[in-house]
Amino acid sequence: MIAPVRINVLSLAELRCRMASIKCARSFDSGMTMPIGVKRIDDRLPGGGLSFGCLHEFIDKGFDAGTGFCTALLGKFAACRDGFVLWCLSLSSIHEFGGLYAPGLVAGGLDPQRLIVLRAAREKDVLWAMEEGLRCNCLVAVLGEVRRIDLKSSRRLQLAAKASGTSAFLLRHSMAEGDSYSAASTTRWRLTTAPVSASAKQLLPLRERWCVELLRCRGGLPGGEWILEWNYEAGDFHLVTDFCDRSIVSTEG
Amino acid sequence: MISIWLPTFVTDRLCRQKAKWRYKPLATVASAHKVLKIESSNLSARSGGVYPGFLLADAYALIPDLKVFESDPVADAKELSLLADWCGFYTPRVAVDGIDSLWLDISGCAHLFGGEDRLVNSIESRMQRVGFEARVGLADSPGTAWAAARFLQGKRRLIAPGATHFAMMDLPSAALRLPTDIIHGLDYLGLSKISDFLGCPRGPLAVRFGSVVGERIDQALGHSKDFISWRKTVPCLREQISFSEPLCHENDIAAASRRLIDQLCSKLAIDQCGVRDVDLILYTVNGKTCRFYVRTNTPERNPDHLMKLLRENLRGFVAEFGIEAAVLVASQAEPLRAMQRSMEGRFENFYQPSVVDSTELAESVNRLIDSLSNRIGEHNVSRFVSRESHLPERAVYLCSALKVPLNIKEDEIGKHSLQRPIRLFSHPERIKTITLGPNKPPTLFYWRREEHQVVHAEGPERISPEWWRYKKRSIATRDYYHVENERGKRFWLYCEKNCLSKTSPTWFLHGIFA
Repeated sequence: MIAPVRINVLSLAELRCRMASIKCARSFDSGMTMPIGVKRIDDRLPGGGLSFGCLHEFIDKGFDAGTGFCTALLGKFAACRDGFVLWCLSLSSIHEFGGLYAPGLVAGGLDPQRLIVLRAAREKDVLWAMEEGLRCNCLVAVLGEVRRIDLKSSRRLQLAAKASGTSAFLLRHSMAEGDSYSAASTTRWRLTTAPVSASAKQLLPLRERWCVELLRCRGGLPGGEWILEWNYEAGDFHLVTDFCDRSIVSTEG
Repeated sequence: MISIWLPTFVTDRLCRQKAKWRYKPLATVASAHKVLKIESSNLSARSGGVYPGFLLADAYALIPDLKVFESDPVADAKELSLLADWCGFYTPRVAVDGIDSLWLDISGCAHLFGGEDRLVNSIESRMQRVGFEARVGLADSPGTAWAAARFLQGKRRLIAPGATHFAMMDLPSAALRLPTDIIHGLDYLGLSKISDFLGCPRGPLAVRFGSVVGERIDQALGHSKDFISWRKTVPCLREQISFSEPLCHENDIAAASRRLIDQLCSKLAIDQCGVRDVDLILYTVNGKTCRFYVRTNTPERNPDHLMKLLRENLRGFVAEFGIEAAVLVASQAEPLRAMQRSMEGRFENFYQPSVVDSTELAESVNRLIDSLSNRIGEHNVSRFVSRESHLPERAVYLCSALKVPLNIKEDEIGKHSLQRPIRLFSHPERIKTITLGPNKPPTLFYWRREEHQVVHAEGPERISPEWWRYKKRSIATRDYYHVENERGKRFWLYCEKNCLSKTSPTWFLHGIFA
């Protein structure tokens, strides 16, 4: 006699959740992620947002576009929890793009009172300081500006972030051809500045605008490119739609 | 009180460079009134008849193979001060006396080394080992110790408490630290021994030689105080450990310092105190000291944290011939109450933000700042502080995080309605521009050999100079523009104009919006 086989019926959502947990070795709850606030992007990320306790990599193509975007994200992370934010700069980055300026950070949504700024002469020290910060449970997030990172260091950062629940951001300015991506990062973004279209600039004040590309996303759907704008008043990202621009242009033409 | 006299200090210092010189006649010379005179000579040269003060030519006549060096008073003083630091092993109160002598205040220290005679033996043998001939005099007062080191032999240099008067009686008048002309004067009068004039009335002596003779007698007998400038202030907390065999390995030194830190912290815990600065001093076998500093943000008495900071500094330390003692000192203890820990497990649920309470958060932020400052440097770990100023680069500055309290609740930094860049150059960079006219934003500018076309510009925002800060009146005003180039990159430029002079305006790039 054949024994009755009990079929475990799972819904599609449950299956997805299980897939994600297998992929990332951690199940995603809504409490562990930080939604960016743009639905089209959040849908592609596992758990509906950037996860806490992970390594996120931001690649800055050619010029400094990442500082503003990372400031906005750090501000959002810091708003969720108590604690400080550590920003590690290398001297070469200060010479190239200037030092951080507190009133500008306020506009980006990050409270400078909760920021610890570290200047290190060598990139090795930046990575060390990041790891030191990640191992401590008093920080919300740690950001490091590095040009080069090897597999071992990125893996160490990822493990330290996972152990403490502190998020790690890698901001990589002007990467050269030979530089490799950080292998252990959970998400990887490419950022460029986006020009304001000819029509809109007559009407609106100048605003931060980035072209954001999601290159890699563990447990999510990578690939996708959006133009985001920062809204100072609301402290939120806005998706700039092609449609809006087009319609104005067409009426003018 | 101990006086250490190093009779052949200068030549011993030279002999340390080459051991085989030790038994050869050696001297240093300095030119005085266009003739070369012997400044110092070693024992072997002295046995050949060459004493300080001889002409070099005479010395060569006496000892043809005399080795001669030029005297170097700066190097001598440096070596003597290093030696004084090294003597900090015996007592924290050490002073340099003249060019070849040291003072040690050993009140309350002798029993640590097994009594006074053992202490003196230890000093002499240690000095001998590092290559210095030392005569140690011990007495109640500094003056007598000085005299004993120079004018008494062997065991008689240790003058028992209360025997000062008796010991001074049969010493020559030179033992009173008097200038040479006074000593000659006393000899001329037939007062060659101290006993000859100790009981005499002071008046006639003071008339002839001044009050200095009486003063020196009082100082030697301990009736009046000697003024000695000690090298360092006495630390309030001090832990010490000595080793029977010299330690070389970094890990062994770390283990020894851990023991010292544990001792210090247990003392601090009893007093409910903490320390902000801890110095570890290592005494090496070859007569040098190494210092390691630890500074913390708040008073601290957690041995693990202090050890972590110290271990970071010790990393890569090479003790050439080994260290024979380690001393841990803290200059100041501050009150630090025992802290109430929360009952909930701190690490159980770190994904929930509310678990970590505010005092523990502050403690752990302070520790992080300590360890970052310890390695990267105090001025490189900083936080933003605002200042009353119109000038953008002055309005906010970075101050060392060790100096800014964590919970400052001043008015918020930079609550501007106007836009400010996110990155600012501390020194604005000069740019070349093309403008359509005065008081207009540029249409094109060159920055770092790159051309940027201005597509859109906002401004100007005029910022006047702070005239009260400058003496000169000719300070330029700045007109700031927020511009965007053809690729969407945005910059903060300004045009510096001087209202009084007719010079053409200069343009600078001050910041980047990102």
